[in-house]
Order: sequence, then structure tokens, then C-alpha cells
Amino acid sequence: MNQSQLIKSLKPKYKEFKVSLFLLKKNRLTKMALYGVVLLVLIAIIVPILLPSAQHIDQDANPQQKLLQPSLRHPFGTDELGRDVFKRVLLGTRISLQTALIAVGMALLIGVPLGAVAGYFGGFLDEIIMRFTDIFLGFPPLLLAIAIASFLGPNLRNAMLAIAISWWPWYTRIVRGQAVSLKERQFIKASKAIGSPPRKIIFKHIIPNCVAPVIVQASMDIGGVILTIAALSFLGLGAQAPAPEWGLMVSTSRNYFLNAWWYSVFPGLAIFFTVLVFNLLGDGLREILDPKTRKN
Amino acid sequence: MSERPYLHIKDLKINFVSYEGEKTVLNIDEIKINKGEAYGIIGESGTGKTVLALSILQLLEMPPGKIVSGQILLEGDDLLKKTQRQMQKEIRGKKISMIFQDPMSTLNPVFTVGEQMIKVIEENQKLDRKQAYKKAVEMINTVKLADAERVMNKYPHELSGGQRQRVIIALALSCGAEFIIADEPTRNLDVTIQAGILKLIKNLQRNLNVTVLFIANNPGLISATCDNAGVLYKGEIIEKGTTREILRNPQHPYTFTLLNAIPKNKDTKIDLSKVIPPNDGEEIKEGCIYYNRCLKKQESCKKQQKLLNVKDTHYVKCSLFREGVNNEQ
Repeated sequence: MNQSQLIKSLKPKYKEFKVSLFLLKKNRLTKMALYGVVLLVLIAIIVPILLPSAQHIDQDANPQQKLLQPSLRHPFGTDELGRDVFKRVLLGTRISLQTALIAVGMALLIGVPLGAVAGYFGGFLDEIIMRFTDIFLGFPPLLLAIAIASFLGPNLRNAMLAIAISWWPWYTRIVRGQAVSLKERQFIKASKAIGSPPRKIIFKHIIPNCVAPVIVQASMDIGGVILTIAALSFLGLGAQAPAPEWGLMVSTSRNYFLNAWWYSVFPGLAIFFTVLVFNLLGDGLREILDPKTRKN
Repeated sequence: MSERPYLHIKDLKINFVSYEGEKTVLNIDEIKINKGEAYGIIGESGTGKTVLALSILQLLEMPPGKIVSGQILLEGDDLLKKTQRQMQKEIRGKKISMIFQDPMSTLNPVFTVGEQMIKVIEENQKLDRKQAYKKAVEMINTVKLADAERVMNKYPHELSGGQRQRVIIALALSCGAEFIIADEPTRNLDVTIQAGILKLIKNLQRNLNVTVLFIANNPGLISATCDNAGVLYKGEIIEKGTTREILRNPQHPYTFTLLNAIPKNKDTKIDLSKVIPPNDGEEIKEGCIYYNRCLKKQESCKKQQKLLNVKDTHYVKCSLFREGVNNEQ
């Protein structure tokens, strides 16, 4: 055995990844969704670096140019302070993606381990955890998020927290369902028979086996979370002016809607496009990760 | 047997609780296994072989299972008195490991074989990853799997049943346990691989002084691997002794018919009248548990049966033996 073989043995996922990529290429809609997501991520990373001035309201505002129609100079027109809507929509990408990823990430961090523990141990602990998630599921997620966000105070960080708190029960349910069926499998019993502690069985056997459905749910949820953040911002509970947040932009543009349609339509389209792209990706991922449809 | 046996099961009685009430699934008077010995358990499906294996490791689901009485002594320590935590820390994987009967589902589908082996070795032998990798390759070579390094990179579904079974054996061995419970390790495998695995287990037992509890439903497998054996029927050991004695000179009608069920060669026809009859005879509350299917039943069988001494090394739980009814016919 030499070094290269060792390295090869440590990267067993490579082939699996290639198979996934191949399946991805065959599915055109998913491929387009993936390009869309990549485009959004690139915009989110690059635009704030290219346009540092646009983040400062005092440098970008120009009252003489307020509410101009879309033109070559301002492709999406300008807003009530004379800021370029195009720039602000692009800048909003980072806020939306960042908050959505962090919110979903937090929800995963809470939901997945709880679900795995509930499903694996079962009994009383399971009962307590699942009834607790039922309480959270009892509220409509947007309403719960609104309640939490208004309780914590209106800013973007609290909106993220509110969304994470109202989103985790779904992951708990998915993972618990998986864990309950997985724990009856022979390899879990075999792992017990060679003396693995429960902590290890949960993290090394149960959770890795739940990854596929969780990834699918998470990628679909990113769309929903972006929408919810926009909704919270629209209601004044999320991002605060002058942040270039899409929901906030739609909200302020309401007052000018009748004579400046571009001001609300373009941020709205950005929300629409982002949510669509993430939902399509989630759908495609489900097809790719499902072993029943995965034939190579 | 003056010295203390390695594993000593005493008066073990396990019930399953269900809506129909309690039912005894395991009722073992005594099993003694010496260190470095291979002990065989044979019996039909559903006689409690796997329940026995799982209860040694305390892996039996506790409802519905229920331990009524008894002791399982491992070097004098009662395993049934230990908590799950103690079992996990001191016994499972450290002293006892188990080869499960179903090679198709005993490996985790989302990790490569190598990954799983390395994890087990790292955990149990406190080696770093490189050493663990070497050790894993070594173990795969021990179980005579060709091209160990390629096998390491494969996912369980890419291997055949026989290959997987060997990987499972390698895994069970790689934690360095001194006692291995092999629960029908050759089920689902073809004959050549069966032979290979039996030989492998035999070699391990001889070379590494590993104690083996070998569970099978085919007496032929026992004869190839084990020194001593017990025949399990409806949770009771009805005959036990050296493998040779049991197979050559079976005393219990059940053992006798069980052996008759094995085809010898293509010309000898199996005489179905001497093979175990179906489970539809008259049930009795007390007495011999085999009564309703026995071909030689008599009035005396309705009494409580005791383990009788055929020889020093051969016991049978059948009163007909004392009355001189010859089983060999």
C-alpha cells in the first residue's frame, strides 16, 4: 500500500459524486435550476465587492433622479431616493441567500439531532420531543415567525432566528421517521454488538443515512424561507431601511406603485426567480437522490 | 470439567410477552463453553437460536422479551446483571462480538466497506487512521477476499453476498474480541463459499484461540466446525455432547429425524416417514416438548423430562433412552 492508494481510500465519495453529476446533466430542468442557483451565488458574492458605494445610502441617493423609468442607464429604473433599483436588487441577493442559508442551517442544527435522538431512543424521550414539535407545528409557520420576530424586535438577525424556530419541527419529523426505520436495520444492531455507544450510532449511522431526504427538504425550504424573510421585511419585522432587501423594497414601493411600477415589479421578480430556482433544484435533487429513480 | 467454563449459561428462561400472554421462548438448563472451543447450536427455524445469541449480548428487545430467571456467566461474571452501559463499555466488541445472519443488511449502505472497518478499528484498538487502514487491509486478507484495497473502496451494494459476509466476519474479528457468536454465518451463501467460511472460522478458532458459538440450522455445518454441540428445540436443549456423539449416535428422536432430513447423495431417497413430521399432533401441557411431533411417543413421555446421561460427553432429554428404545433402528 502506498500513499496514493491511501489517499484514494480516503476519498470514496468521488465516484458517487460523478454519478450524481451525470444524473443532473440528464435532467434539463434541474440543470437549469442549478445554473440559476450558481448565478445567484455568484451575484451574491461578487456584486457587493464591485459596488461598495451602493451600500451606503448617503453616497448613492440622488433626489434629482428619483423614480425614473427603466432606461439604459438605469435598467430597472430608480426609487424614491433616486437609487438605482437594478443595483439594489443585485445587492439584495446576498442578504436573501445569506439569511435563508443561516436560517435553514440553524433549523437543521436544531431539528436533525432532535429527530435522530427521538427516533433512535424512542419511548418517553421520543414522546416528549415529538409532542414538543407538535406544539410548534400547530402554528402556521409565517404566523409563528411574525410573533417571534415582533417579540424579539424587528431586525434581520431576529427574523432569521424567528424563521429557524418555526422551521425546525419539519426536519425533526423527517429525521425521526427515518431513524425509527433505520434503528431496526441489522447494521445498527451489528454496530451495537461491537460496542458502539448510542452517540456514535446516531451521528455515524442514523444521521448519514437521513442525509438525502433532509437535503431535498432543505433545498426546497430555502425558497420558502426567502419568501418568508421577504414577507417579514414587507411587514416591517425583518430587514430595516436602508438595507437593499427585496421584501422591504416591495413594501416601500407600495406607495409609488401606480406611477412607478418598476420599483415593485423588479424586486418581486427577483424573489420569484430565486424561490422558483431553489424549488426546482430541490425537486430535481429528490429525483437524483432517491435510490428508486437512481439507475445508472 | 473441573475448571470454570468460559461461558456458562445456567437455567436461562426467557419469555416473550404479547397480548396472548407470556410464552417461553428459551428454557436452557445448562450450556458450558470452554475457552478456545467451538460450540455448535442446531435447530429448526424459530427454536430460539438467535434469541439465545442476542440475550448473551443483552441485545434482545426488552419488551417483548423478558428474562424470567437464570444466569449467563462469562468467566464468572453474570452478563444479565450488567447494565446496557457496562455491556457497551466492557463486553460488546471488547470481549464478545457477533456475526449476524443476514449479510445483506448488516453493513451501513452509505459508507464504503473500508470506511466502516477503519472506524471500528480506530475505535476499538486506538490506532490512528493510517495504521487502522493497514490493519483493515490485513483483516480483509485474513478472510481471503481478493484485492483487499479495491474492496475497501466499495460500497456494500457493490459486493456480492459472500463478499459481504466475509467483510462482516472481518469486521467482527477486527475489534479483537476473544469470543465470537456466529449466528448462521453461512446462510444465503453458496456451498463453496460456505466451505471457505467454515474453514476460516475453524482456523481462527485454532490459531487465535478464539472461542466460537456457532449457530446453524444444518447439522452438517456443525460437524465441520464444532467440538461440542447442543440441539435446540422450542427453546430447550434436548440433546448435547460432543459433535461426533450427537451426529453418529443421536439419542433423541428429534435429532435423529433432523439428521435424516439431510440428503446423502442423489440415489438415496429420503424416507419421509423418518423425517420430522409437521407440527400438528396432540398437544400436551406437561412432559416432553417434542411429544406432538414425535414418531415414537409413549405414555411415559407425558411426564416431565430430565436430561439423562448417555455417556460422560453425551446427554439427552428423552425418557425413552433409559427404557432402552433404540433410536438407531
